[in-house]
Amino acid sequence: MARNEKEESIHIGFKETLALILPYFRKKLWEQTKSVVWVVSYLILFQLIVLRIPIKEAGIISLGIFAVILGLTFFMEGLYLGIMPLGETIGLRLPQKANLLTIMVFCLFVGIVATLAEPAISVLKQSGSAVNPWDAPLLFHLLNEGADVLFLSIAIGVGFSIVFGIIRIIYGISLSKFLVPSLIVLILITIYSFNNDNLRLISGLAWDSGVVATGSLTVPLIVALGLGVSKASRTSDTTTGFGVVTLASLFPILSVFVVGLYFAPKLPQPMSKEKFFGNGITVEQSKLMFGEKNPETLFGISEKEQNSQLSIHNKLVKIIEGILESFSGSLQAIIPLAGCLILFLYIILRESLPFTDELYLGILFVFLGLAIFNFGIFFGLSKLGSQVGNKLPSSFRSIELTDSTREIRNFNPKIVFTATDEQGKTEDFFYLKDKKSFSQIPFRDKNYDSQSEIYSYVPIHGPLFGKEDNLLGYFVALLFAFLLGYSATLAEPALSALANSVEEVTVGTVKKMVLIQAVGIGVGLGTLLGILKIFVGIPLLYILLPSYIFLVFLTLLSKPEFIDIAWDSAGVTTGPITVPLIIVLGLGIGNQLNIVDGFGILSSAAIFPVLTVLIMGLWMERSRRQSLSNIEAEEK
Amino acid sequence: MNHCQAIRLTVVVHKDIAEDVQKVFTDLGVPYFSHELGRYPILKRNHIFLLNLYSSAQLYNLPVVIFQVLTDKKTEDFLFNKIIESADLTIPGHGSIYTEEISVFSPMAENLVYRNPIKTKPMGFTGLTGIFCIIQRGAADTMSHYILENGVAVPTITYGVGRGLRDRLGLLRITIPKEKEIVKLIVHSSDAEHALDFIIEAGKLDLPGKGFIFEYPIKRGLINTKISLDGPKQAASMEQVISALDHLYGNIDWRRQFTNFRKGARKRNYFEGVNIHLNAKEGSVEKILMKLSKLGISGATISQDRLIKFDEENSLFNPARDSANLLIPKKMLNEVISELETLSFFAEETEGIAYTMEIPRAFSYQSKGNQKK
Repeated sequence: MARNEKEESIHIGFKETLALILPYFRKKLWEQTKSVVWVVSYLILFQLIVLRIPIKEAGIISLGIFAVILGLTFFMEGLYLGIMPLGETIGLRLPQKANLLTIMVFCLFVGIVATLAEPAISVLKQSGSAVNPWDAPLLFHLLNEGADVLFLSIAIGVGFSIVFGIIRIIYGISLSKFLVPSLIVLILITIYSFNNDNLRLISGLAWDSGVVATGSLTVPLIVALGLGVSKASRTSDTTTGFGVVTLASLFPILSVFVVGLYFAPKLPQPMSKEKFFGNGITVEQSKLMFGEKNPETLFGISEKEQNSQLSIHNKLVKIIEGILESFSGSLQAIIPLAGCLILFLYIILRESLPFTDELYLGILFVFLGLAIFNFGIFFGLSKLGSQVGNKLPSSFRSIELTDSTREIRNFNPKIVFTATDEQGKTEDFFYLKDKKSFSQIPFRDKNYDSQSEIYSYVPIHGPLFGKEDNLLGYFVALLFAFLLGYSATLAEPALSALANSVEEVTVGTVKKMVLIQAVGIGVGLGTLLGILKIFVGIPLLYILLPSYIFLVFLTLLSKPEFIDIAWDSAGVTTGPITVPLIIVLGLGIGNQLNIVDGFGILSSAAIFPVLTVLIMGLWMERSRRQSLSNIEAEEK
Repeated sequence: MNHCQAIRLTVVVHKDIAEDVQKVFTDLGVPYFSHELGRYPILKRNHIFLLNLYSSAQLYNLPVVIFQVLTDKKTEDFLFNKIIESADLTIPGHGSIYTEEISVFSPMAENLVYRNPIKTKPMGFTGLTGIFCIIQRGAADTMSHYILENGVAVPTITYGVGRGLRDRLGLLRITIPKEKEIVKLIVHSSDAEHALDFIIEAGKLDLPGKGFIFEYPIKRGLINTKISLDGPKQAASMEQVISALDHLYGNIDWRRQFTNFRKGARKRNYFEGVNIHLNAKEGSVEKILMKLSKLGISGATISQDRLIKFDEENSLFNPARDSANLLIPKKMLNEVISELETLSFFAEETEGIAYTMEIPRAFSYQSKGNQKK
């Protein structure tokens, strides 16, 4: 250690540099590989072995998955080097150098900027195209024309929650004092909305947007900010600095409901499609929902032809476009956020970090990582997930595999047979030789082109276990949902960052892996229940109400330390990996069963981690008490 | 520079009873004390049937709070007894308490020390030695497993960040992990040499980059003996059996044959020096250490604690503090202190405090060149 070595900066040659960088990079890459490998191999094995459907576009998907791993590696390293130290330093200095008003303005501003930059939030917008305006006018409005209002309201919600969260830490107020009232308000609003057709349909969206608002970039920043403030605060012996994320996932729910309440009277009630287009709505309402566009042309013939056979050139163009898009998206997310933080640090707080070069390198890493990661999510994980998700219902009923349409050349209509059923209805079919086996394929006239003599048919894949709608098939789908939720959570970057902070703050008494496992099991259970909700058609309220009442009860039993961590892990669970996978799963099953909104799965996936972490906390508490008591005294 | 001799009293208590200790400090009007979070590992037998097949015992980590307070020789016993009384430290599992003699350097050194004229009888044992060990993050669990299973002591683990070689690498430093774990344990002085050797073997500290260890004298202490969560199944607990065997043999060498460590009765090159413990406002220790490196002092471990003081006037007082431990050759002590002074470490802005303590024995991997010194 402290010998009298002369202090000089060491000159490092090229070879030594490589010798340092390569093992470092390999180690970090391996860490992320380990976190992603579960969900990927699970999806692949499930599709190949259980569903027995080959994977389409395997080349692009594997490229995408490699990009996910590489992107995560850069992103996480960048978080630890740049964003989190930046957040923590600001948090440390904030209460000393700024007055309460500055703190509040800063927190509000950071919350809004960070949320608007959040990539996960655009997932909501994507799902907007799946909603029919006549089924749920309010939902349609909020996801399409009114999307900007929706996003801004979510962002303001996050902003206010950071304000409250930071003030809570500075004054050492326990989390449950904020948690219980806001939960009561939310539950009351949800109950009120339950009786209004329009509002009931957005309650799923509202609860989900709370979950989506806190993503992989926002969460580590908020956590670091909270930890910094709690270190510098004098009264924070009882609070750990966590808990800000929780509020950040509750307040947006409220703000979405408020926006919904504002727009509800201005929009028509849900009605049938015919009535909707036959003067069911006024011009004003139409303008609110569609802007300047004509609804008839938008929804008249919306059957888009999907070209599944892309040429190699087209594929390359698509990939390059994807790369450019994810880079620009990443830039849009990083620049406002990092810029705002750095300016605040240098100009208002007049502080500097000890290692500025590390900070900038970290921000560069986050930028690179986010870009590569988004690309990988889009081309790899989402594609794989949507393939499996859309085909999952084939475990309990027969579905058409539209993406593997096949063509039979030189088709001769003479080979078509006719079959009959018990009622005497007839149906045409023909035999198809597929390698060495023969199978019957239903014949439909519209698929036959008599000029080119090509018959194109959509293969049908069908219930795994004998009959349609059998219970075992549903059971397989539920099991799939559980394992998907669980394995996707293990790869979630924001959770990993939170778990790291938890381990750091508790000096290793709450181990990173234990927390991640507990959260993973919780998300798995939540996803299972969300899918069950779709199967059985339970209203969201019936899931939320009992669970939250039980949670409040558990919260009152637990120690503040675990309350903060448990509630935070709920906000963290659903990030860029889980959200697309779970939404795709919900939409896939929802489509097969003709259900309007697939929302609500995320919010149920976010309740159960709180439950599992609280139970873990209580269990650890038991051992803690056991270690204190004198055993001999106990035996007497 | 003002400096004075003082007694540093360290209390390691289970987090659930930390409040009681803090209350004692408040009630007695102790002007300054610091607290830091840590953990102590404890063995937990698996009761689940199948899990027993591959591991007989796992570690369970309990949260502890480590308090440090300065007092003088006359008040030592009083404070010592008060704390033992309030936290019931005589019950295994509640925690440990010990005192060391140190020198304090600070412009207000005298004010930091707690004094009380009440006299009480001394409690606790003498003849103890503390061991302070810095290892890579993640290595402490394996090491404490060995330590507990062999009944050496109950370690206390805290987190820290290492400085040294990596800071001279420029940006490439990010490739070297800086996170460290600090393991502290208290043993009987007669065991100290063996324990030191044992830990060096367990942590492979004789290999480069694995860590650093030193022992320091302890004046008086009461140590935690609870090493397992489960109650004894026999008439005598395993700990009692071990100590009885130790008595029979007259030493604890017999324990070694059951461990798989590389046996090498090599002579280790221990060195000696002075430990400087720097404590200042969060963020400032790192800057000071960078400047200190001009003197050739590199390698320090920074950890974070909170300093609580009772003066309500200064409402902007920030409890977040950085602590750094560094070991320097004894002859350099005065030079380093005066250098710290010129670097305005003790100024009001950083509120620096330095504690020094002589270290009779320290060990770390040394390259061949260094060993000749």
